[in-house]
Amino acid sequence: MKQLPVGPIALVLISACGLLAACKSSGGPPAYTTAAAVGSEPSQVFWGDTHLHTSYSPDAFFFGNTTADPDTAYRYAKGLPVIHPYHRAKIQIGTPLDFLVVADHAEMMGVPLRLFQGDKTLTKTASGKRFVKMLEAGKNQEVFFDLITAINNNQPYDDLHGEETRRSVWSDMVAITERHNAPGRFTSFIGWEWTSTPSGKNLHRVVFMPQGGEVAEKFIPYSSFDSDKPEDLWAWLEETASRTGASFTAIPHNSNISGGLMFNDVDSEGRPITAEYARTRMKWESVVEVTQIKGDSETDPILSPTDEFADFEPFTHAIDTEALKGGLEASVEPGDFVRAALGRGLELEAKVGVNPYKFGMIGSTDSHTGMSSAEENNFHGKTAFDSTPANTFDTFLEIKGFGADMSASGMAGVWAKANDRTALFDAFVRKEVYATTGPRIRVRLFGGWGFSPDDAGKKELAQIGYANGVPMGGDLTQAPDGKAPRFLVYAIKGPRGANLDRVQMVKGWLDETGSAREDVYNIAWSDNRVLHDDGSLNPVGNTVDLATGAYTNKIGDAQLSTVWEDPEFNPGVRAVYYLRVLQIPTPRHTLYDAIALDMPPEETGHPPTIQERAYSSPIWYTP
Amino acid sequence: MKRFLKEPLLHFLAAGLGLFVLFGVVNRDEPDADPNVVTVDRDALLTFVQYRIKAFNPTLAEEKLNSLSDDELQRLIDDYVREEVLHREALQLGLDEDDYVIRRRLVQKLEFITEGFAEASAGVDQAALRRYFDANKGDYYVEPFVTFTHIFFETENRPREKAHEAAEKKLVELNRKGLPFADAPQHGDRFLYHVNYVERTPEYVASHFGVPMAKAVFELEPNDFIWQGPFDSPYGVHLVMLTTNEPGREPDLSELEGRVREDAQRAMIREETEAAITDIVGSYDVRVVYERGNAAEADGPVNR
Repeated sequence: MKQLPVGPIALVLISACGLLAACKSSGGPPAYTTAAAVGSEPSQVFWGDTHLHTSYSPDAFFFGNTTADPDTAYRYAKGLPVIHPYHRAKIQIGTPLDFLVVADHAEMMGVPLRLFQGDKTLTKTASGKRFVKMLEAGKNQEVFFDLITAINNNQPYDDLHGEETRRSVWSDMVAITERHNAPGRFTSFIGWEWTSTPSGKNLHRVVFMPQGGEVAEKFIPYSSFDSDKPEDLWAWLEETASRTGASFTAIPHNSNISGGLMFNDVDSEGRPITAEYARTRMKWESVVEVTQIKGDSETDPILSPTDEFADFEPFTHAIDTEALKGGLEASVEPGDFVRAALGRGLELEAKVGVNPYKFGMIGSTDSHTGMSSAEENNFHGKTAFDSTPANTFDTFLEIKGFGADMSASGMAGVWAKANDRTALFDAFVRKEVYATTGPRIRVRLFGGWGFSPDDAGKKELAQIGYANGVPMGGDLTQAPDGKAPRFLVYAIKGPRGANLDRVQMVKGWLDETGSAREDVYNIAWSDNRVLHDDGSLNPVGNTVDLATGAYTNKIGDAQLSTVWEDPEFNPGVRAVYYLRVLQIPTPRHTLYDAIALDMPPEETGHPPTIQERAYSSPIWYTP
Repeated sequence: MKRFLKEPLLHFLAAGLGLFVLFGVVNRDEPDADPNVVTVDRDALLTFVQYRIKAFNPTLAEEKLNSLSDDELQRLIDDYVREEVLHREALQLGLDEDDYVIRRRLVQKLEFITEGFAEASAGVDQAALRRYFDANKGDYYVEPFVTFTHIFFETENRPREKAHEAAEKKLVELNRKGLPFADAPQHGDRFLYHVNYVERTPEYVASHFGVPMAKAVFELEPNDFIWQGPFDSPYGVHLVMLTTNEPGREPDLSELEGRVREDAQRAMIREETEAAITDIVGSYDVRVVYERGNAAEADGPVNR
């Protein structure tokens, strides 16, 4: 019998940087053309996911993803057919992504995978030996819960989390990521997730960097085992950046299950937020992930009682660190939701001089299947187990908040001149990025003082926007006498997607008492509807056939544009503005599952249709 | 011979697929006396089903097992056997204790790493590369693509006939003036998506202009001087200047040798892994004693 030529480590070497032409450092002007470079638009939207887990993540592995590794993840994102890790059928993304961050949990990254592969570094340790014995005795389930509980409780088995293992897993990850980077065509970023969950409160951050393997090999990802305090993460980022030359951005997510901690008004030690805290936080966390499979974190009906669209894909199951049995209800506090946080940021800025919550917004999946799937009609589950219609409704494990409770969600739209690491990363830093719940809705937003109503209909809208205003993520100040800010807005349906219902402007501002308030304005809408005196609109309608899941674009508009002026502007008051763009109703993934199972849609326990949406990054006004 | 056959299993494990070991370990009260006999009884299958559906509920598992079609049952048995065999092999190879085979393999790996890429790439020689490429040409098919710019006449605020009239009139003007590609943005209405489409595939163009117009565009002859049309999309009417129209093709190996080599290497590893497993499983005597609907069998499997 012939010897196999390579083992896993050698495999990585074959594909390592320096061996392939695609592996280039990300400096200097791009040596390729893109549609944007030769087109008439000053920037182009690129689509991606900054938050994807593979079989390297312990929880992903235990929930049935034993085979879709980072390589599979990149292949799927690039549009290639791949094998689903659970049901083993061939699947393919509808429209490929432009970029991807595989962000596996730093905590015991790759450890279960390697333990069960019989990696000697692990099986020779005391814990490894114990687990092997348990496995031999058929106690797989105990091993499963033991390891997951250890991770969730932030009490690692130190001997399974040794430097040798961590470095080796990280090297594999870096090499695979490098191999898939193809500037101008597809961008892969090196990254990971810092999974801090103190007392079951989700403080998770995805961290990624624009540099390549030569920099990433100089460190091992910071994990919540090192510290579960965000302040310590930032200190590590600072130290590591200056030591290695890396740049980082950290993206908080699932504030909706953070128990009020994600956007708190005190720091991890319970002390009031200071200017120093705010500056440090904003240095590393310019962008927040506002929507993903595990729920939408824009706002909640309790916080926004007059917002008729506030009740969207709530996910109310906090992480239970005991035994994964679920059942903990998530809180609804201002620290849990992005809209309230933007307002709180204004409050804190007024108090301490720096806004700790001046962030842009993106969506991403947080899928654990290795498949970045955010399409309702082509959704492959949060976990591998969730990927079949029957399992979507399966509650056998008695874990609350699985399958049907979650939504196919999360895309990051990035306005940039080119599809490469530098150009995309820079857009995150300047917050010229935005979120959608899955569809490829294009959203342009510019704020300024001189836009004329005609600009909304002009062909060179983008050029006008950049020339006479600031794009999303930007700042306005020094209001000219007697002028209110005007916003140039353009929303376009995804090429394969559903029409648009309306564009709304969400405004946060401070009242006389220094408390944050919010307003939602309908600013552009479809089908020539007439705005009521109270500012509301009739619903756009619903074309979804519940028997077939089909919908039509006979309602809604393909594009909506306007110039909107704030009618209640006060030049002496801090304010923040962002867009919410709503699609016409389309089927939720559970409707497709119900149809596939020949099950009445009302039995799913979820609305059969939803209005997918986009959230722009905000523009701030500071007096 | 036995030892010889077994070594590839180590490679298999090393290649990253050995996680099946986890699920292969099942609750067995009494193991088969002969390590080369795999007994597939009701208990084994019930336990196996529970691991597979990730629900540890014997009643459900029993329902599930009874509901399987013949094909499904056979597949389940095959999977079970494969995992059981691999697990036993892993134990026999002493993955749970220090042994010489593993020591030797680790040394080999380390030697291999230090030898570097040149050695690794030697795994696929030119002839093998060519064979792989010829057998998998479909994977490297380059889709047709076009490069064009267009001038748009919207139909949201005017009837389609009017847009057509405007387009026809503009077409004459453009071709008389010889309007160049780069000046297209100065004419017509704002289109939802792009002005210039550079090296775009039929699917992409269809997603922005609809299938009929995409088809029409892909039938145009490239011409840097002529505006063509008008064409209808769901959004309005378009005049097109198309400068490139490349048909789909199968590229030469020389154009993408690096990519093919990498794929061939991966394929080779996969193939050899599968071959090794097949060999290993083949060296076992598999006796299926499970019979459907025979609950009593659970107490006394035959062929022990």
